Amino acid sequence: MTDRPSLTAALVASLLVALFLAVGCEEAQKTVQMAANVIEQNPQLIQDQKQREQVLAGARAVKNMTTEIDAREEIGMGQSLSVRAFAGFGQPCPDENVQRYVAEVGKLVALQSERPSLPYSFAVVQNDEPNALALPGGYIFISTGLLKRLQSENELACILGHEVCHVAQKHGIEIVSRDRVVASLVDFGATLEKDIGKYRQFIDQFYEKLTVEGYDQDYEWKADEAGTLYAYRAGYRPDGLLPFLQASAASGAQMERYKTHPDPAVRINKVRSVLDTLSNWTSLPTLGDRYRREVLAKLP
Amino acid sequence: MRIGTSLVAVAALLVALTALPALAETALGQTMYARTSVPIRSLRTLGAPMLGTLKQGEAVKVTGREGDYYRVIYDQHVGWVYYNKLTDQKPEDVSVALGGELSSQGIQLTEQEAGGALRGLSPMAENYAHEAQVPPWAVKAVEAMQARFISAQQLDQFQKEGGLGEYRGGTGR
Repeated sequence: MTDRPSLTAALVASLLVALFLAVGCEEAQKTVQMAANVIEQNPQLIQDQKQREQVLAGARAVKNMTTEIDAREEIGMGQSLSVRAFAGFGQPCPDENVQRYVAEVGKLVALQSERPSLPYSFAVVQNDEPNALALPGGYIFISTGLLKRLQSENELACILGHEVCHVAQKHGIEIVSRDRVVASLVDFGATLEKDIGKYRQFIDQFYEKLTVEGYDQDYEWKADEAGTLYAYRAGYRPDGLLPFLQASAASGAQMERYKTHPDPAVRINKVRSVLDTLSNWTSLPTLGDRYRREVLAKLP
Repeated sequence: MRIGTSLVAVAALLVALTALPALAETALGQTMYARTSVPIRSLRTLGAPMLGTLKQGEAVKVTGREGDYYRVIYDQHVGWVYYNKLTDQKPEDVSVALGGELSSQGIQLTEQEAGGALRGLSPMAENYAHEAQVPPWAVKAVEAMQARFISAQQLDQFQKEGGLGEYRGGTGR
């Protein structure tokens, strides 16, 4: 037997979702707020207090979702994910000179992104797998395993540029927003800031999504294109993704996290088409000597 | 005396004529914004004297481009800025997140903040680390990565040593 408050709550929830889907984000925010006001002023609509609170929490979740996440919130989320990333990815590389060098290359490239004012942070982690990871708020990780497979600074610049793009174009935030949609549909108690248990669940699921599923293919294309352009504008020879992609294509195996990335052969063609649009790039520096001196000679 | 008066008049006319192109360019110019702390040079060369410095996010009127440099109007003078230091999109204001203040002159941050150095973890992240029982070293590692301070001068030196961007020499891109 269906209990009446649950049925009413479900109907109201469905109404809120339908309203959200029917109108634009800005209008949805106003509409959902109006619906929440009606419920608050007419508690007899949902007599069960617990059900009423759940519906109102859901309304707040939808409202939050339609409000753009600000930089402070994004950085807080990025810090939470970064704490999780270190715990799962590996200890930081103890050589501060290597850390600093990677951060300098990363910051140069990040200044050419769509969000140059974001305080990007870079970390080299001790992990033999060739991995890199971008988290909202500007937290970017690269493994010693990947660094050892690179031969020059322009390759590093293009790979960091790829990761910076995921942050600068808010790919992670878009995934978060989608998760909030899901949360608002299935769990009206997901008020992230007040319920630390839910927040932990959210961060853990989000981290899992990024590291297991990875970014969608479209995001990866965009990151390849933007990473190449950022490196070019920073002054590097912009074909730095090609050796990495060619190695992946030749081995026939994607590298760990890159299992979710599009086919390397297709990516190579796309990067080449981006290079075709750039002028006078073949004489730009690759800085192989500096990379060997600052990274390869220092890693065990 | 008459010759002196004429000289003054001619000088005034020349000054006015010199100012005209700048005024016309201002009227036609496009607004762009500094990606980071940006030197404005008096000539389109690396070693030219500086007219001033734009702060990150500060707007400037761009009136054209020659080679790798934008021609800008700064303090009613024509100046030059390397092309990769300006963007047509106003950088977002992250000063609240960093603790700085926004003003009409751009984003006002301390040198350390402008270098991208954050202090400590937010309450959200601290709560998460506690709830998830993350090892203390992981929290310290996040604090260390975001505290790694690279000043604008250090970044400039890094570019110089690598011959990157403005330090590559030559123009044409």
